[in-house]
Amino acid sequence: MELKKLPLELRINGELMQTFAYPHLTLLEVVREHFGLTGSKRSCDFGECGACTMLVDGVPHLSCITIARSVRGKEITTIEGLAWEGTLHPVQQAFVSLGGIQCGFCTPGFIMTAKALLDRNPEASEEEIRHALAGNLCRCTGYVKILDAVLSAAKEVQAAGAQAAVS
Amino acid sequence: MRLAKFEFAEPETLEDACAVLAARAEEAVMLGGGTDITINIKHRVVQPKLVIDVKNLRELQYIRETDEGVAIGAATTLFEMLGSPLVRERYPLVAEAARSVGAEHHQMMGTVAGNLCQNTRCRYYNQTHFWRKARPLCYKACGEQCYIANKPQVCYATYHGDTAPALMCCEALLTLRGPQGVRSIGVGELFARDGKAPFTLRRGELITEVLLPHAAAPANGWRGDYKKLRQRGSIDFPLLSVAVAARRDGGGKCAEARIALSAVTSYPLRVPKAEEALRGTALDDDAIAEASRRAASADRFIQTGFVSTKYKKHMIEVFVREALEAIRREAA
Repeated sequence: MELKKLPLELRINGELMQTFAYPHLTLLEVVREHFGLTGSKRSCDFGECGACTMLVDGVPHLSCITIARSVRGKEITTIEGLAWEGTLHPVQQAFVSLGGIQCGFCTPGFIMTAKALLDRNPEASEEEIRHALAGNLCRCTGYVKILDAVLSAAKEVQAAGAQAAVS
Repeated sequence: MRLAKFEFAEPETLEDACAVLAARAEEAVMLGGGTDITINIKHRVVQPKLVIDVKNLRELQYIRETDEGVAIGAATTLFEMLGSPLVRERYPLVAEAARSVGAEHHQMMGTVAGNLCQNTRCRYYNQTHFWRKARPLCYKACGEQCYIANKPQVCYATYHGDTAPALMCCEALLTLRGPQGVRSIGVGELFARDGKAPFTLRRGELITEVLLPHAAAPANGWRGDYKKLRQRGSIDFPLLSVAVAARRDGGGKCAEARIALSAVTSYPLRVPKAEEALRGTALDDDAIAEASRRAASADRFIQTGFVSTKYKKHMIEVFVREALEAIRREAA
C-alpha cells in the first residue's frame, strides 16, 4: 500500500501550524516531531499513564492514542501554551512552589489534566481532584504533593475569579 | 510504538460515512474515541487499511428525550453522557457504569457506541507484536490455536465492556444503519457469543443511536446498582462487572429483576435463572442468597486473564448480594 504524506493543519496554543504528515501519525508524534513542542511526554504510549495529556477544545485527551488528523479544526493546548508572557499558570506555579515534581516526566500531563478540571470546575473538591487525576500516573512522588499543589492552585484560581467578579 | 500504516477517511456526514464503510467494509475500522482500536493497531492485532473517523460526525452527538425514551447519539462521549441530567437522574445505573470506565481521560475520549463495540481481550492477544512473536499467533490473531483452551479454532477472549451490562439491565435499544437500511435491536443482540468475532453487526453496518427506554427509569419503580472489580481503582478494565436492577410492585414485592455480568466470558450476559429467583419475593435474605448463588453458576467460565474463575465466581456472588441489598435499602 502506497501511502502519501498529506497536508495537515492544526491550531496549537492559538497558533495555526502546518506540516505534511502520514495519516497514521498520532497527535503526540506530530506535536513533538513535526512542531518541536517536546513538553508533552511519550511514556507508556498506550493511553494508560497520562504523561502525554493535551487539551483538545479544553478536554483532556491522551495524545499518544489520538490520531492527529481526527483533531483538525480543534483548539489544541499543550503544556507550552500555559505560561503567558513569562508568568506561569497558577497550576504550574503551585507545582513548583509546593514540590509537586520529582523527576518531572509525568508533570506536563498532571498539569494539563488539573488545568482542564479547574477551568471546568474551579471549586473542585479533593475527591473530584483525585478522580480527575486518576488517569495520570506518577512513580516518584506518591501523589500527596501533587494533590496539595492542585488544591492550592484551585484556591488561587477561585481567588482570581472572585477578584475578577468584584472588579 | 508507531501505529501501523492506514488511510484515513474523514466523512462529513453520516451518509458519507456509511457509503465509505459499505464500499470497503472488509478492510475498514471505525474510529470513535480510539481508546481501544488505536492500541490494538499499535499492537498489530488489528491492521486495517482504512480508518473511518465517525467521532466528529455532528449528527451522532446528541442526548435528547423522545417519546420512547432518552436517545443518545453513538458518537456522544461517555463523559457527556454521564454529565447529562437526563441520563444521570433517570438512568443512574448507566451513568454509574460510564463513570467507572477507565479514567476520566478515557471517558472524555471514548464514545457510547465505541464502548459497546470494544474488542474482546485475552492475555495472549492483547500483547505487543514482539511479545506475540515468541510462538505462532493465536486463533483470534489469525493463527490456528487458542492458547487459553489449548484447542484449535476456538476463541475464549473475554468481553470487558463496562456500559453493556448496565444497558442490558435497562433493555436499551440500538439503532443500526447499513447498506440494507436502518434496523433496531436490543443491546443483548449485538453480541455474537464468539470471542474472535464478537459482534453481530452485518457488513457495512454501524451503530447510530442508543435508546434508553422510559420503562426502565426509576419513575417506573426501577432501582439499580453497578459493581466493578478491578486491580487498581483508577484506570483498569473490569476483572468483573455486575449490573443489577429490580422493580418492586405496590405491595413491596419484587415484580421484575435483571442481573447482567460482564468480563466473565466472550459476551455480556443476563442471568435469567437468578432473575427468576427474585420474582415475587420481598427481596429477603434467602431470596437474595439464592439469586446470588445462581448468578455465580450462570455459565462455565474459563480463565482468560490473571484472575482465577473460582475467585470471579465468588465475587459474582458477593457483588450480586451487595447490589440487591443496596436496592432493598434504597427502596425501603
